[in-house]
Formats: sequence, C-alpha cells, structure tokens
Amino acid sequence: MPAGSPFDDVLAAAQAGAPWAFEVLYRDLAPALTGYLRLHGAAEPDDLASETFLGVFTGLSGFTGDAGALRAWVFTIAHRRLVDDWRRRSRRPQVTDDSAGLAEHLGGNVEDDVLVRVGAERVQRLCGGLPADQRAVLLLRILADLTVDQVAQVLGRSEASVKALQRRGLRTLRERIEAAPATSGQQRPEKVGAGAHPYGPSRR
Amino acid sequence: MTTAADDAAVEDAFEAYLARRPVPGAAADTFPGLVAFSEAVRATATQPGRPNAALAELLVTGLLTDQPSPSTATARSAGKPPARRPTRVRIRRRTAMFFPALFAKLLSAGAAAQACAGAGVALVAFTGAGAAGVLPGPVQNTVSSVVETVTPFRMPSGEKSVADEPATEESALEQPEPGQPVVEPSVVEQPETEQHVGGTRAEFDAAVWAAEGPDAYPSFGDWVSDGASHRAFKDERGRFGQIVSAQARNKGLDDGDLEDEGVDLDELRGDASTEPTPRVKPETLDADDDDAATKHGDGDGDGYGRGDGHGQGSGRETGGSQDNRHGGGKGDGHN
Repeated sequence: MPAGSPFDDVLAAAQAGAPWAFEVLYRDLAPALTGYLRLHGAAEPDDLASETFLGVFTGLSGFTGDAGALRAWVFTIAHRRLVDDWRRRSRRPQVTDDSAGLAEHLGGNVEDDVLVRVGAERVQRLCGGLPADQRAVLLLRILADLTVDQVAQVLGRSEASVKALQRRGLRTLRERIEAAPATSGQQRPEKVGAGAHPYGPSRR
Repeated sequence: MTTAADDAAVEDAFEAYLARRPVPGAAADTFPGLVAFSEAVRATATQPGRPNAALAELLVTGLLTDQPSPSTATARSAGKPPARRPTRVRIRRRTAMFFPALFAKLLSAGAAAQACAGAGVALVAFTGAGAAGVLPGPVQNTVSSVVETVTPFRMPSGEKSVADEPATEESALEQPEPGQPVVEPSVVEQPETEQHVGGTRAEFDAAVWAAEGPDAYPSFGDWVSDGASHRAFKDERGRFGQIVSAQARNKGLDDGDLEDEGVDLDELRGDASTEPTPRVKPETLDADDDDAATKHGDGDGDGYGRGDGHGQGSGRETGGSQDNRHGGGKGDGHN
C-alpha cells in the first residue's frame, strides 16, 4: 500500500466506489494476482485478473478486514475463477503460448529482457511441472504473501494440509532444479493439447 | 537423497525468506536454488496486466455503492458534474423536446403501433388540446402539423402569431417531419421566449455553447444540432467542425457513432476543413427573401443535416409556401 494511503482510508473509499481507491488497490494487488494466474497457466491471465477485480470491486462493500484479509479474499476469488478456467479448458482443448503475455511486459535493455525471459520461462516450466495444489500453495505464499492460515482459507484446506503440500512442493522443486540445471531458455512453452490442461488440478 | 531433515531445513529457509529474515546457512546449502526461484517468481509478477474494458471503465469512473456495475450514470456521478443550464432552461428544453418527439415516434411506429390503445389515448388527448389551440406555440405547431398531415382536418397553428410576433421565427422549422422517426429530440427545440426581445432574436452565444460542450445536452447529437441550428461560429470557417471534432475525440466517438447521433459528417468535414470551400446552398434558401420564415429557414438550412427532415415537415404543413420549398431542398441534402 503506498505511503500516505492508509489501508482503512483506501478501503473505505473503495467501498464508496471511488475510482482512485480502486486504482490503488488494483496497482497493489494486480501484479501478484496476474503473475499467480499466469504461472498457473491461465489462458488469458489479464482477462481473468480483470474479472477477478470486477468481482472484488463490486462486492467490496460487504468486505471487512485488514490488508491481509483483503489480499486473501482477492486471491480466493482469483483461484476460484482459475479453477473454472481449468474446467472450461479441459472441456475445450486449446493451444496456449504462455510467454506471449510476459513478452508484452518486456522492454528496454535487450540483454535484460533476454535474461528476464529466460528466467521467466524457466520459472514457468518449473511451476508447470508441479502438481496444481502444490503450485498453488507455493505461489500463494511467494507471490501473494499469504500465511499458511490464509492459504488454507483460499484453497479450502486445513493448515496441516497446506503445510504438507508446501513441504512436498519444495521437495519437488528442489529435485527438479538439481536434476535439470538452467538451460538456454529458448525452449518453446508447452503446448496444451486435447484433454486435461497440464496446469490443471486433474494432472496429478 | 532427500531426507526429512532436509525437508525441514528447506522449509525453515523458505519461511525465513518469506518473513524477510536471513536464510540459515545450512538451509541455503541444502537448497541453494530456493531463494533464486522465489525471486524469479516474484520477478515475473511486477506488471499489473492489462485491464479489460469493463475494469478499465470501473477504474476510471468508479462505482456507485447502490449500483451493481459501472454505467454511464456512475461515470457522471464519480466525476465532476458537468456545467448545467439554469433549471428553467432545462425544463423548457425538456418540455419542448418531449412532445414533438413523442408524436414523431408515434407516427414513425407505423400503423400497428398507432392502433395501440395507449397511443390512441395520447393522440386523442394531445389532439384535443391542439384543436383548442391552447398548447404552447411550438407544441401547437407540432400538433397541427401532425394532425393536418394524417387527417383532412385543419388545426389552429402556432404560426398564425408570426405575423404579429415575428420573433417566433424558429417555430416553423423546428418541427418533426411527419412519418420520419425523430431520434434526436433536441432538433425540435422550442424557441426560448426570453431570447426574443422586441421581435428580434437574441444573440446565440457560441462561446457558451462551445464551453458547455455535449455534456450539457441530452446527447452529443443534440449539442451539435444546437450549434448548427444557431450557426455557431458561422463567421469563422472551420471552427464549428473543429470544435465538434475535438469533442467527438474526447468522447471517443467515431464516425459511426456520430452518424448514429445524427451528425452530418460530410457537412462537418466540410466545415472543419482548413480551406474554405464554397458553400452550396439550396437555391430555395435565398438570403434575399424577406419572409421571416424563409430567413429562418436559411439559417436552419445551413445547419448540419439534423434539422433537414423537420424543415420538410414544416413545408408540408404550410403547403407550398416558402417553407415548403425550403423543406424540400433540405430534405434532398439530408438524404
């Protein structure tokens, strides 16, 4: 939250429908939210994030809580929309190029862009290789800065379950990183064929 | 080989990283890529993405708490309210626009719609009032025009006062054309009586019109029509078109939108061009005519398409007068 904009004031203004407050919240939450959706393999992460924020802003008048609670609520909505997206895509096989959205955000120094892209693609491959629930736990903790308790609320699981998923996710990551050191990163993103989406919950 | 102790160490390191604490050395050695991976994940999420149209509107206009979704109403409420005309003027304009538009819509709806009981009742009520001649001048003109067009009856006309009161010159040409749908009700603006002082028309303040912009009008087309009918900036070739174009850009209106608003794009572009171009007037719009109605028609004829059909309607009702010729000429240009 930007300095000079205490959360309570921003929340109150947003609940009253003030556009500036919407923008503050959007700028604060949208990067992590969009990144979460993208690393989960959402076909249209920007659109999904937009739908999430529309739902958040229109339902904000009934929200009570602090910044962490708002963040957890926003990611709860996003995660549900993501699951819906998985279901839709499992019914309608699609081909996706997940790097397209990322490429739009690159700019400036070419070398930096290449490094960012290489890192992003590797992160995307590593995340794509994780089971959806493990990936969700790790991303919610890293990107959304949620506690184990909040992640449990978002995913509708117990804290113990979340801790177990986190432990297994970290182990999986470690094994994959150690087994496959960084490559050139020029590999094309996975193509999603017919059937279940590799990012989706049905894979494992 | 990963052991439980390794898992615990990695988990501790992960929690330390998330809590912005120094990562224990042993844990860092166990999983050296942990921090790098986490940083890389965060690096992929630095941009907010591109909001879709609905969200973009919401971010700009805000949201009324009693409305479930963004709308034009919220846009007005969230921003600075547009400069508004005095209440008396607004009411007068609204009234002047309502009745002729209602009648035109009734007529344009076709025989089936006219047969509807509700429309019949409305027609009877207004026709009765029109027959009594008790309606305000412009409304009376409209009623007379409509009734005389669709029936053999002659109705008292508001124009009969023209001879006594030349200041009502606008009324003859600002009536809807029978049988033609009036999409933009503002073209049938009622002459504002306080603007007619001593039988001469008060100055239309083009600067005020330009400053107010379309927000002060029911629609963009109404604003353009108002300016056109008053020949705003007629002495500054191109100024009118430039102002309208600028406002259209501000509103994000493209040519299609403008056409939907009833704006004559050809006329507008001709006016907006920097090089003065010869203005082709219908020959019936002769400035030498002394007739008050004709002079008024000339002003309307130079307008920008919106008022054309209405002029023709007036011509029909007066039957072969200067107005009739004038209306026909404008009708050709409009079509």
